[in-house]
Amino acid sequence: MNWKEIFLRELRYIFVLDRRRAIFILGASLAYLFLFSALYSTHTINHIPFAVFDEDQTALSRQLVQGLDDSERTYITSYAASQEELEAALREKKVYAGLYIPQDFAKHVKMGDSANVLLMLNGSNIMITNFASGAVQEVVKGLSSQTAAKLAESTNGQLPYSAENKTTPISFTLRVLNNPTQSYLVFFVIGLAIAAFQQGIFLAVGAAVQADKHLFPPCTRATALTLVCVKLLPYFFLSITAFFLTIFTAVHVIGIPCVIPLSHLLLPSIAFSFAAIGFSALLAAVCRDEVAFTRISIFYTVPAFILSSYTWPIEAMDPAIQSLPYVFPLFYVSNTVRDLLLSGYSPSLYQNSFVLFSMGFACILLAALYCRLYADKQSIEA
Amino acid sequence: MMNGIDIFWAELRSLFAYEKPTFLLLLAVPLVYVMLFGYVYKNNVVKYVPTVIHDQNQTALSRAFVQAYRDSERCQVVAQVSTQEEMENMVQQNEAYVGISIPDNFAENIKKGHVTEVLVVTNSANNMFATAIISASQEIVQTLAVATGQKLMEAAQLPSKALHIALPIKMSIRILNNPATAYTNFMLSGMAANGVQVAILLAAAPLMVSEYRRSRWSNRTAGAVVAGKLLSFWLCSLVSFAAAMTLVIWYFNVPMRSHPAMIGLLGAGFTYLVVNITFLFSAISKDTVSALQSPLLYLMPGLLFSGLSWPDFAMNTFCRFFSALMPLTYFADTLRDLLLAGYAPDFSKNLLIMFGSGSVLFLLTTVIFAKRRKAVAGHQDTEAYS
Repeated sequence: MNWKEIFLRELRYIFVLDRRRAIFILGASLAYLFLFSALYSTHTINHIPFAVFDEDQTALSRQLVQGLDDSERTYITSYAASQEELEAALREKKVYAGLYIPQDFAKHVKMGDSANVLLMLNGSNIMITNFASGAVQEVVKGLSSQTAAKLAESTNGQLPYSAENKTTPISFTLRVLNNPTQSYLVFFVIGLAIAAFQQGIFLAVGAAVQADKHLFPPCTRATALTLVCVKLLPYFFLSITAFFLTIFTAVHVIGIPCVIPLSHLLLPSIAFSFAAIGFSALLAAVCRDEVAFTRISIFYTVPAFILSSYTWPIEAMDPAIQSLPYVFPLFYVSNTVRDLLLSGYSPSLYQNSFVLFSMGFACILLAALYCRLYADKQSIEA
Repeated sequence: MMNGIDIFWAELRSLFAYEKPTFLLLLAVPLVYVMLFGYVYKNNVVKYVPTVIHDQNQTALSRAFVQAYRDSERCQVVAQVSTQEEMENMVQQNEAYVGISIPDNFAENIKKGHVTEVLVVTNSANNMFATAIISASQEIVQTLAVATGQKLMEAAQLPSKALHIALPIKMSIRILNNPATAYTNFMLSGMAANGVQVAILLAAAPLMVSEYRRSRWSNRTAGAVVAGKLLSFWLCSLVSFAAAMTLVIWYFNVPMRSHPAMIGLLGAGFTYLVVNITFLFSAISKDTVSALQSPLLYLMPGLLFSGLSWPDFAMNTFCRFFSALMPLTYFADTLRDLLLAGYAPDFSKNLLIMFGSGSVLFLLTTVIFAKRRKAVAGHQDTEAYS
């Protein structure tokens, strides 16, 4: 077979004889994209079930409760009649946070003593804990500043404007770049889709290499390399198509922001497709059969995503494991693509692309070498 | 049932077979997952976020403000720059993830009794950094604002009175179950559960489909074959689960506040359900590879849909429905509750769901296996005859 025949044969396999290969490459990332964009469609966690035990029942305490009721983060589902009831609601997970306003709360404030409120949180789920405590802190701080200004007016005889400035002399303006609403849809979904995209490439290329590994004729190293390259070429084109299809859908259907023209993603898409195809070809070449390869690729998916530092930053990982992410192709693309989409710029784009290309070259060379050795061994045995 | 017992022993032996020790796969996958993710989350919180400072004021007060950031373990000041552009560039270039800009009239404004604003710029492409920094900034600014407000009030009040005026309402926070908001406590048990699920999928997927072409149990009922395989594999899965949990609790110090038997019982329900799901996929698959690949879209997103991190009240109707189909939904959060709180309100309900749906799947697998085995045997007879 010449290279053209191998190329056409592979296309026939992808679209006619073994259609799951096309489904894996084109479908995996899209399926994950739709699935997880549905999961994170609310962007952030709002309406956290919340309980209040207001022992004080004064205008000031009701003002605090009203503040919580007005916050979209918290959703007051129950008013407890005792602290035990509040704790029981937390324990039974009817609510995830509760505020206890003690008796004499307003009295202490009026007398010029600091009054204390207690926020109780179920810390099992840190995401809920962070969102709830942030929201309650904001409400309490707002009321505290307002009350402080009033106290300064009455006790120090300050004018209202001056009283407010003196009691809250420093504040901060927050400017959140790239993902101003801190949306989980924007932050998370693209990375998950890229992880699924990689899995799709793995399963398709693995099936292709495993199916034909024994067909490689005893040949020179150059011929084996050409054969492997031509065989993988359709997957390369298909991967780039799938990548852009996924990003296009993410931007134009799901609504994930993209501040640059999509063509600017060509370099990372080519580099990553090349590396992932090479990586899976090598893995498939050394695996005994497709079952073994599929097992390894399934096992690999979750650690590759977590270790890509897409969510948990590499700087925060334990030193014992900090060098491991550098082995995985996903590490060099997921953050880069997110940076490009959200800020239009990724400082490590060229460096990461270079690493991915190098990784791809090395893997394809090794895969070709292994296939040739395998074919030689088969022919000797025959 | 007697004919099921020898199948059970034969299957158990094959799981430990020297040539293909499937049990090792079942045992190793969750252990590797726990070790990997345990080390990923070992630091528990995101600390030492690279921070750049742009102090235009350069007074004692502004330096005190910068010092507060230096003292916070959340931040690590990596540079002091002289223009806002430089600061923003560093944030955009990911050389720093947060920039603090102090205006040039910072101290003067405070002395004159005007509010002064500090600008905090953060890159939220990764929410983890932004969340850490916003919470640290809230704390630092609040503390400094109160201290400064107190000093300003001291002109007319005694110090203690001035403090009460500057901060009339305080809030104490009591975090139950995971007071240090440690990431290991939050995620590791769920990751271990996911590892057990993946291990069961990898090891059990070939078991039913490979039986169609073999004739060794052809004289036994389908129920006996499925039950024999299920019991042997379930037993091994439980050992794998126990080993993973031991590592989570003893090596990574995740607290265990409930009785081990409760955790074992929950693990039994979960492994029972996952083994039955995998057997069902295996029974309907064309070959071993398909048996491994076909449950992927169903099982792999399970961890994120389980409510372990993204809670069910934040999901839409479709996601709640999809989540209800996932075995991890009935296990991961309940397991974490048992470990951290010593009590899980949904324990009995989830246990019932897992054993109940597992048993329904067992019956379904048996019916499918019986029918397909008969069809394959008929086909083989026709082939042999022709």
